Amino acid sequence: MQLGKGIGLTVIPTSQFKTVRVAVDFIAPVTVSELSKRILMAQLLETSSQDYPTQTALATALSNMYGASFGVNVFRYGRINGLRFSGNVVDGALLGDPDVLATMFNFMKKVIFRPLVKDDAFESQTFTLQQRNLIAYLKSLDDDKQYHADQQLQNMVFSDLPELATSLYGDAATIATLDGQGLLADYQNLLATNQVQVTVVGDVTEAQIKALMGDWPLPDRTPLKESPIVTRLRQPLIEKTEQQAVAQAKLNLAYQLPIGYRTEQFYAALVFNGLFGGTPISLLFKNVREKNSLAYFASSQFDAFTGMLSVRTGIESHNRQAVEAIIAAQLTAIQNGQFSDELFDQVVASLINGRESRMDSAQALLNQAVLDELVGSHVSTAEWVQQVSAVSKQTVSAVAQQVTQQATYFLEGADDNETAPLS
Amino acid sequence: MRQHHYPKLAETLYSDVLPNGLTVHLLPKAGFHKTYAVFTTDYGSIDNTFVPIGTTHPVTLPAGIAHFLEHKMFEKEDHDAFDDFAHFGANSNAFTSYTHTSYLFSTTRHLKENLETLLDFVQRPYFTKATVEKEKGIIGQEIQMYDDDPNSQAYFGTIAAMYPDLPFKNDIAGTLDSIAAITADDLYLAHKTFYQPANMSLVVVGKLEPDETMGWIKANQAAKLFDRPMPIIRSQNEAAYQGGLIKRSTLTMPVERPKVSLGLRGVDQLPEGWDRFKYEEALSLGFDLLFGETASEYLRLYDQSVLDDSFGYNIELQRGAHFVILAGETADSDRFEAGITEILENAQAYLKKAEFNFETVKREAIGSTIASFNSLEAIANQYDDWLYGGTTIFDEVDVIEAVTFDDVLTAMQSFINLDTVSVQTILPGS
Repeated sequence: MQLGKGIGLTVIPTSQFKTVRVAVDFIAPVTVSELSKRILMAQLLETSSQDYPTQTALATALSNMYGASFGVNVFRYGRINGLRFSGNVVDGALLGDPDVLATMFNFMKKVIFRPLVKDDAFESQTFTLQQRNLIAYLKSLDDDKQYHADQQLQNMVFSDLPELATSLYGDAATIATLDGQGLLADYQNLLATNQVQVTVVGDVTEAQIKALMGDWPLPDRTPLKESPIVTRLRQPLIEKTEQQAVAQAKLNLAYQLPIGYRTEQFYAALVFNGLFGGTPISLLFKNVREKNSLAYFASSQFDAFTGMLSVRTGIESHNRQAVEAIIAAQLTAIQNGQFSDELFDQVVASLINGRESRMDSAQALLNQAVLDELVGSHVSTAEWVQQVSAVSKQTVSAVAQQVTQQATYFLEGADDNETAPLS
Repeated sequence: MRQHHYPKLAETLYSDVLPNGLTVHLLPKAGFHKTYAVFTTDYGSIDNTFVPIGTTHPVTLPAGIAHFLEHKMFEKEDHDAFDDFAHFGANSNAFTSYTHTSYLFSTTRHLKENLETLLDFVQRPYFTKATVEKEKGIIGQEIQMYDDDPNSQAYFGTIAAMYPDLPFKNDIAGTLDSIAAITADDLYLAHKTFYQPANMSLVVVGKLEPDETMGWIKANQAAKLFDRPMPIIRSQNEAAYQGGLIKRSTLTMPVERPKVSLGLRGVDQLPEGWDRFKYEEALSLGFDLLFGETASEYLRLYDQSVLDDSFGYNIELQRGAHFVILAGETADSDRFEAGITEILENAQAYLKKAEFNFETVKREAIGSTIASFNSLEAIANQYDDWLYGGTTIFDEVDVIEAVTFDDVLTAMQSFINLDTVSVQTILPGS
């Protein structure tokens, strides 16, 4: 339902869970600066507000709501990014405290609409501390070599679309230029103009939530029209190798697969990815890890919003060529229909298991509801299962034939020559 | 089959011990679509010295044997158990800790077939020289991956420094050298001793009908022959460990900022059963009062930029050891260590100052416990038949409610001992 122009509310009533989960999303088209600003806003709003000026005050309010959780984070689907306030509170019926949900909504209202402000700016001490913490955190992220490799690949693939390349944790250089006054103005603008999507999963009704939000200051706004789906021309193949003192090398590959979310070939693309490297029974897993002992992991991911298919592996540096050859051979095998009926059936069964399992996660139900709103369509689990079951081996091969390689990133271990073979 | 209703959680648990000694727990969850099952042996990476069943002399197997066995269980003569699960759409996996090895699957369909696959593959070992050699390459990669991970190095390195004379000093997966020595015979020996049904438990949670499910499990077990249950003799200090300790160690890794971990080793003798669980909860509340997000001491260090959101602490109580690790990233490792140490030194005084906050942290602990019952995985993975002698996570809300502020003061007084603190620092560099 609509609470106002550009303000949507979706309630998923269920008694399956011990908690009620709430998300309040402010959604707009993504840009590099928009994304970085949202990330710093998230950091500030998660730790302070006018009514809860310190972390301790905020944490105490949550603890008193029986350890309710509250967080602010940023998401991105293709061309769209959102600032999300989420709360999760134990169902009052289990606590003998029916008011706890109302307390949570009141808390969220205060945190969202009354940030810690002084002289028309985010309070300067808190702002400086959180800006510094965030930049330090961003630098530490690189300690995780998988993250480093993933981000390098992302930068290569989206060199022409930096808003898609930027890490979801933000861009340190952009964040360093922000100030408390400008960011507050941006935040107030976001509150007044962004598409709002409120989603609730739990033992509640739409009327109940509407009443709890009755006094939220949310004026009408222009609904978001942009589609999250990115369409691109075919890109030239690029390659990059970097050396670092790591024991395990990372080989990451990117491909283009121009099939959009819920388009005609979408379900076949899901089966293709499951067969290629998206499930633990996939060809990549079997052939790179199990048969050849070349890697501890090898997997693929498909993003139907950007059309990017990627492969990640952790290997020994001297095995690079062998691993690349095996990956290419698996893609060719799928293109030529060279995979068994049993494996194909296993992949379909595994995807169905994954999809049906998501009905047991309040978070997954919530995310799906938001996505449905963004793309303006809904597919029930039963319909989804039917669509995936209807995919044939031939359509999967046809999908595989549309895959073109776009980028190779290799993080090479500096001293790998001294490593003895393992087996 | 026993039935136990827990009104505070709105859950009913069904339990039985089968004639072969296997303990089974079933938790039906209304409205759920998935079933999660985990089959666990009370055997982990610290149990590498033991008296094999049918012999009288202890042997010591190479470090990493329990984890190696976990990997190898899936592979059979002509197929992989993984594929049996996949055939019925299930996801399967396994993990090894210091004290347990667990095998699991989750599925929305074909529960009976998947349960049978789980019981069968874990109870029917098949190892050969060739398959054991091949696995060494895969596990070697896994070990190297953790070697590159500073957080993993900080955590496990701190535990190793606290217990330099115990198997806790070894990585759960072992080392490249130790796993090189593992043979198929070693794996059979460990399996025969520790995978007796009486040393194992099966927990099934989610979409299930208790009578029907228990019937499947009983029929599967009744159709197999098992040796008579034998007591397991393992090398383990029953009293709290009083041995050596590495007070300080420094590691250089390619990290952006120093990472400091303080390991506090418990040297007090723990009570048994319910009281042990209560001791653990009292410690947990005590650390919340000193270092939790609602603690004023935490805020003071946070505002001074001594620590930040990367800070956290873990209370670990396991068979053979109990300890707390406080860890975080910091610009200044000396200030970090001094700040934490000062609070520990004056813990009793700070706790008394924080008494007003006791009901708040208790409320939070109760709510978080109830919320964790949303997750089939959290329920089944945390369920432990051995650690608290019959008291389990289903009793946790009652245990927390029973903890008084005096219990917290007593537990913290008993636990904190500044002579058994080990500090590990990871400094930036290559």
